[in-house]
Amino acid sequence: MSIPREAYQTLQSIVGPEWVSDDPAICEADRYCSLSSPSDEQRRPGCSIEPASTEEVQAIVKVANRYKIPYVCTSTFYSAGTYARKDDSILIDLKRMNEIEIDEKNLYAIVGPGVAFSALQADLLKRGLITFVPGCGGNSSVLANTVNMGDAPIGWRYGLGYQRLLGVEWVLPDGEMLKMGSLSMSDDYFWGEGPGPDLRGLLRGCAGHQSRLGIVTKIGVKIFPFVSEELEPMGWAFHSFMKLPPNRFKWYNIRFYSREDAINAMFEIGRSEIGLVVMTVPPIFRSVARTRGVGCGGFWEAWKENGPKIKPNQEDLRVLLYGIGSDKRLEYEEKVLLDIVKDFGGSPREAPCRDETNFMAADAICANVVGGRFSSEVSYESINQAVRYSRVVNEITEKYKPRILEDYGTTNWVCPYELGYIAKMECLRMSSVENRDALDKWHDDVHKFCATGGGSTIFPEDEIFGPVWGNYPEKEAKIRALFDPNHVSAPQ
Amino acid sequence: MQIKQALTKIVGAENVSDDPEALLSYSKDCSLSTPRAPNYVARPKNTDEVQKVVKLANESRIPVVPCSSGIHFYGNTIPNLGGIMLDLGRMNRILEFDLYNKMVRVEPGVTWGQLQSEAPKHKMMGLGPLLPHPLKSVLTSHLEREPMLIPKFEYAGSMVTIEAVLPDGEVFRTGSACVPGFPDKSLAEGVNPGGPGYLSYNWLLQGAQGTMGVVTWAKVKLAPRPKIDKTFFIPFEQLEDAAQLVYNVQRRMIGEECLILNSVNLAAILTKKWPQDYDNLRRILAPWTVILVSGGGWRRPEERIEYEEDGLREAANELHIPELPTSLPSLPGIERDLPGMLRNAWPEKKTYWKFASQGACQDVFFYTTLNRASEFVSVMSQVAAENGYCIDDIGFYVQPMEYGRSCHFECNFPYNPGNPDDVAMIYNLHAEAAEAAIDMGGYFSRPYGVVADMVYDRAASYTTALKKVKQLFDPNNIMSPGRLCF
Repeated sequence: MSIPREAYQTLQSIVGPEWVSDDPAICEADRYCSLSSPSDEQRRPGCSIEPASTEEVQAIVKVANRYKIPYVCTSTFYSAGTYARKDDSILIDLKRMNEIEIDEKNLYAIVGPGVAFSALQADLLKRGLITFVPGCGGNSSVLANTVNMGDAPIGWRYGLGYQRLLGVEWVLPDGEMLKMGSLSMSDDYFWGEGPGPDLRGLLRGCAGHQSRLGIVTKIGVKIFPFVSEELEPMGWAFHSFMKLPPNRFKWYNIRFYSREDAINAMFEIGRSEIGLVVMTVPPIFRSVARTRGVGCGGFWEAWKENGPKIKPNQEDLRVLLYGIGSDKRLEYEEKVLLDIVKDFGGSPREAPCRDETNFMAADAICANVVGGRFSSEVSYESINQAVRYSRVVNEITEKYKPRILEDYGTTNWVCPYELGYIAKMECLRMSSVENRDALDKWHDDVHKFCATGGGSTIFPEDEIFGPVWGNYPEKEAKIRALFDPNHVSAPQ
Repeated sequence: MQIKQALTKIVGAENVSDDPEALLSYSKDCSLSTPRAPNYVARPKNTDEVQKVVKLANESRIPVVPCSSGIHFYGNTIPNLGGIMLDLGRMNRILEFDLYNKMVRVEPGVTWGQLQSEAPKHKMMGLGPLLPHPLKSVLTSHLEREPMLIPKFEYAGSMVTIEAVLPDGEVFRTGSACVPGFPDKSLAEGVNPGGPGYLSYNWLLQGAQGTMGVVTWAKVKLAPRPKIDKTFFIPFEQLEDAAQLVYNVQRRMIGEECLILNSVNLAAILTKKWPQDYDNLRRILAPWTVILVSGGGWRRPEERIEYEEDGLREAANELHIPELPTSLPSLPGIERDLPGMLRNAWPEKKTYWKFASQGACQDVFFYTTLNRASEFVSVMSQVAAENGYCIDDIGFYVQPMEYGRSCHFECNFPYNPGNPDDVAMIYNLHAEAAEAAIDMGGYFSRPYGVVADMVYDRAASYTTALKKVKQLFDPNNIMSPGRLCF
């Protein structure tokens, strides 16, 4: 055992001996999280501990500081980044902190880190309310996802993750407590900012620190009104969905033969303030969805046959109309949408009135289904930027074909939020396992272009972007040194 | 003398002053804050000059206090410890209407009067607070997170990116405005507020009352201006009932502007001839009025208003509200005029509505939830009565936020600034009302003056962390010292 005996005994006394273990088998099992590929970077923790309360988290973190032991937290193990990067770290598993409180009237929920989206969503749907189900899936933690990312296509109407964050209870890297928003002055989580300068700005920028600046133990998070009808689950695994009330919802797939028309239609839908979801659908996404359950071989066979048929400049929009509060509103939204589609020369096709990924606990990362390796370039900026950026990414991709698999220029996904005030652009590229280096080089080229050409990416590399983006890594390092003097909070 | 010379070198002799009379005008505002004059005033015209002044102040360890326009209400531009008053009034350009992204980029000196007269030319409107003073700075309203009249989620987080001069003189751009070449030669259009990196500098600069840096421009959201409107004035005897209707309406996501006013404030806003109309209106208006503007939107405006009206009727039926008036007694044509009023600054030639009845007004405002608003009316009225203030003169304004998830609650206490007894009474009343509201759980997210002390005394963990961050960014405490908890 590498955790000092005295420290380990103290940890046992904090949570009780049954909630901490240094058994190598358990520690090995807790080494990896589900959305990251096993790598040398992921180290086996020295012990795994499961606190039940904020006070216990604080005490654990103070022990870590006293003995200068690195720690990292996880909540559902369904995450991309919360694993130990240093040997003999304390892995703080927050799954027991899974309390949910819902204020139906004032549209917010209070959740601990162990609450998964599927659990919260199940409670909310019974009350005619909803939360987001993010792309990474319903198994992920509401708290961790909201603090770190927190987007999903219904953000067209309900905004981005950072906007849903209300009162925050945060154990700082040294174990001190920080309460933010209305919680700073009372036990109420209803309001997020301030008082005065908003320290939620330390918690996350476009994305969060992934536990590198302490541990958030409870948040208030916004929830949203929904239909009161029960959504009927249908189908079996790989092809399951929920039926949506047809008097309140309508899906449209709209094909445009010019990207410019599709984008202008998207802007106009935003100005007209209709829809719950508006996004482009790269044909490869649709192919992945259609070949679920047949394995990666089935997908690539279908893709080889269908991919070459994609017309250049073809762009598909997918729009979910929502008659919020009334059937008549749905009728209005449909008329407006069809007017816009006509004005911009699109071909609308009504799609089945059901949901597979927006309200039900979605299955995650379809890209995994197709096998091999993938790399994803994500930016949050304007719809215009998404178009320009994806054009450049396509040019860079050409340099690496055929080692990067043929995508027929279709894997750039534009998903706008807040009625078009901002848009996510995700460029997904795939390769076989043995050609991973091509993807790595592609990724570097994209970032180098982005840094010099004035693009915006969500996960910048400090060495490339720091010098041209206002030396932000220096500021972050100062903040970390200020709040984490012992450098123990999820050190890299 | 050296400072004055240095300032002169930076902004030109005509834009620097240490003349006591000129400084006097910066020593006070419309609040009851203790007057204090700066030592110098400098009026830069661009970011470069702002940067040089801030560097000078930092090197000389002299306070620097930014102010953006010609009117201030809460004492947050009074230089508590003297120093350089950085008057940004010359930086009054609307830099860009970004119509694709429905945004505008403004310098700090751009006023609501200016923006709201320009925006309609682009079929847009600024997302403003309730009838702002025409000289009030647009940028300051957003920076200070003032509540907007349209309670839609999509309009939340209205300040998108910022250029700021930090206390050490570094020019820093937030979010995606940090990219090289912005705004003319970059792919990014400066619409992502997060970052750069894993911090949100936007959040750290907002609500800071000039203590974290000087903002030299900001990109803020606009909203499409509806082509036609229909306005409803729904009267209530009790605020609880008005709040319940707002819950029902907002749950259906209906309408554009939506707010609740008591008869005092509604009369102050709608009076044309003082004082006779005012007294009459206060008498005939209902104690509470929900104002809801159904906006016809961008396409098929009549049909949109039709379904919104149906939704409103349904919401009202659930509460057995029989009628949905579209007019107010004795105010012909108001239903036609009001949307335009709400989408404009207060007219320059008219006395500002908050000052019209008695000459001055002290506000107490905070956040709560709609279902608690009536409790606060009772307590604020009680505190007012205990201080000898006539409770019939209190103006109340309840602004639903984000589809009714919470509300901005505001009490307006008009008073006579020429009467020392009135002033003393209002001073005490303000402090006691704020204290009572805090005790009840009212949340002051942007505390000014004496309220800041009350708030930061209670928000212990927040105050400690905030002071650490301030020390990191402004080790010499030159930016607006004496404000908030600094």
